[in-house]
Amino acid sequence: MRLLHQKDLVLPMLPDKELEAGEEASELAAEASMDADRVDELRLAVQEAFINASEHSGASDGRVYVNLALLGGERPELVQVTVRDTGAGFPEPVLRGTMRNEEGRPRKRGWGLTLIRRLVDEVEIESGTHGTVVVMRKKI
Amino acid sequence: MTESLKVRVDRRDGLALVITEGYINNQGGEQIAQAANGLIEEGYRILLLNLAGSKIVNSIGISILIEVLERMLELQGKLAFCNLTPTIKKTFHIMGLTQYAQVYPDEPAALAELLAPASPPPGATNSGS
Repeated sequence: MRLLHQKDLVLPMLPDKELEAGEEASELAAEASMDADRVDELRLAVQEAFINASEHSGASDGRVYVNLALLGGERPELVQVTVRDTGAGFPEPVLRGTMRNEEGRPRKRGWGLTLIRRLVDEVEIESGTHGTVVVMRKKI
Repeated sequence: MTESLKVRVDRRDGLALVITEGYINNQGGEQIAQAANGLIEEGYRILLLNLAGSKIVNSIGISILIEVLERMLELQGKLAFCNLTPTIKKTFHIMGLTQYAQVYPDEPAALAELLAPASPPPGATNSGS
């Protein structure tokens, strides 16, 4: 599979900027003829990855780096969205994405990564002291 | 890019409708919770949230709806939703809302069921004659 098209975005960690990242991803997916409901799922996954970076990374540069890529052969086959920050890494409970809180009760917050894992086909997460990279892939 | 949520309330006999338009994020969720809490204080125990005008949500906004749902359940009330996009419906399912809240395809279907008289318990007979 080769890279057919890509676009880089650098967005400030400001309220509702996740909508811009989600919109760009959904435009790319829609142009590649992804089914509308799957486009919506990708949009939400990208929003959640962006919100996690904004809320949990503590990155001093205050920016989120988004790479949108269309991969395929003769035709587009996959949309890949990479959301990266330069912060201190996500706290363990956020990375675990467990369904219950410390008291064992159903969790109210911290659903971002759980949703991402359920809304896209493949996810890779690397989180450490130099930042976090979330790579999401969804088939066309 | 900021899209503030618009919340409209329609009080009916027996239930209140909360109609939203826009992005349900943390602020939007709080606006809905504020409207819902006001209706609960007024005595409403059945709330129907019509999300036809809200195509985009996030997990924080939905978390706040879970808090409203918990309050309704504590009061033996009902929180129901209608006009969800497939992605929002899927998100509700993942986050566990659909275990405790009814989801209807549209407003007429929701009203028909939520306002229907309670069916008699099994084995009950009509003693009116």
